Amino acid sequence: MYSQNERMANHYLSSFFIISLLISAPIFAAPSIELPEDELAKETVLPVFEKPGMVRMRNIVTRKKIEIGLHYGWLMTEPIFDTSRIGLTGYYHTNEDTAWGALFYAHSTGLSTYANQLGKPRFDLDFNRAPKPLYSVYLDYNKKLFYGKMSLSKITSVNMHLQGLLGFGLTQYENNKTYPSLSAGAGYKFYLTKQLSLRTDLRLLIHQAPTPFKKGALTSATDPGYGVFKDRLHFTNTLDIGFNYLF
Amino acid sequence: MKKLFFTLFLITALTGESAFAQDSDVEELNLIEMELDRKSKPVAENSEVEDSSQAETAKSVQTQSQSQKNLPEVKSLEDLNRLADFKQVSVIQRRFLPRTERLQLFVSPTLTLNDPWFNVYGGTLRAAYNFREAWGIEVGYAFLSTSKSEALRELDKENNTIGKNIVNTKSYYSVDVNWTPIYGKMTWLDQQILYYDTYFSGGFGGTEIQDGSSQPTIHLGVGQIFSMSKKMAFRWDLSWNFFEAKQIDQTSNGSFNNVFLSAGFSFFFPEATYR
Repeated sequence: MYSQNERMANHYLSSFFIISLLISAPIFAAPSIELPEDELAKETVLPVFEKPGMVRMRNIVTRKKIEIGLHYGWLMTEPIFDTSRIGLTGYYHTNEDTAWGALFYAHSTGLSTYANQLGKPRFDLDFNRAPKPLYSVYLDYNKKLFYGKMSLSKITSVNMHLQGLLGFGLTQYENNKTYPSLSAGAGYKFYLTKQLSLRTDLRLLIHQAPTPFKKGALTSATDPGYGVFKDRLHFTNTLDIGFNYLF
Repeated sequence: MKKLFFTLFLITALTGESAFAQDSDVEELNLIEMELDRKSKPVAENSEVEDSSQAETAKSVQTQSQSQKNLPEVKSLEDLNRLADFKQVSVIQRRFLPRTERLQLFVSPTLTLNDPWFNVYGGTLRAAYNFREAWGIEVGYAFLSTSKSEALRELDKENNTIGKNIVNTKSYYSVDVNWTPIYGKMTWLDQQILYYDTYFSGGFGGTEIQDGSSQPTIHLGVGQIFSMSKKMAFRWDLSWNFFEAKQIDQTSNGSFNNVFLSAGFSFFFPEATYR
């Protein structure tokens, strides 16, 4: 009935069919394999990649970009002089992790509420005789340690940076002297858009400055001048808040 | 005969392949492909379909998309019961550190950031309970130690003023409502992911000052909780207290405010095993 060639073809096809069944048979069976207890993994491990990276596509890209800002600064532990200052900032982002910047502050030249209380008749201390800070300039280094995003009640999401701050600067006082200062702290930057951000910085300022307390100098009939006020090291906490624009 | 064997061979091979597809990874892959199909719908609609198979695929995707549109929008957990199998995939964003119906104990050192006359250090203890993920109540107590700053020592020495009359805080307690509208994640130097919540708190309490009296206090606060595990977290808190007390001349009252910075650890009870 069949020719020699047809029988050969049928033979090959039968063989293929049997082999296919044999291959798929263990899959259909799906037997449960029991392994000895001591051969089972006792700990989990994570793969270590050569180039680990958590963020593949940043929404906010700062690398090689310039940023300018306008800030209000609060000198939180300034006892005598006005605690406000206004700052202009400019930064250059060398990469996604670091930025270098320059800060300029103009100090308010009034007195604090404590100085006003001490100026009342009972104490009669005139702190206007002491040299006040006028301007400050800083070179600032930012290390962008954390980059992330946050959801505001599932309505919208905002990107942010949490960064370490390190600065060195000079402050000009009314006595025509310039005093050095160091600053260190941490700051948040919340991106309202891809360019505009709200920035807040908390710093500890370690700075040389004239002390405004000198016996007799604040109460005497004649103003003894700025020369009687001695210099010493001060520690001041500062809180800045302002807006930055990235372009 | 050849056709019969060839058909049997094909069926066997295809059956074997479908057996492999039971693997969960492949299921996930199928889901992803389904998602990609769904995303490619506008292209299928706009492009001119050339052959019948492409037209069939486009029709299938369109039908699937249409059926998805007809499905109810998921607004609560109960709505998940009405989802059709593999037609609508709903993603529930889980918080890494759940807080609903859990007690939180917070322990941390504390310092005052804005006192020019005293160095103020101490500790804070707080207990919070969250009724919902975003809302909770918290009671707290801070005990503080004060020492004169360099400025106050100079003021007293050079000008013989009454430093003891300058208001300083010995302790404060508060009852607050906590609102946690913000949560998110951040990466540390592109190496590690951290989950965190940002909360705001507001409440009332009392501030014990240097003369032993307790002044009614309004408390506002903001802080963040960084999850370390499902039962422990790093937390920082910035608290701003407002109260009234006598000024340095002891004749008139004035407004005072303290800014406290606390950074410590929170512990959550009971264990979050239900997620």
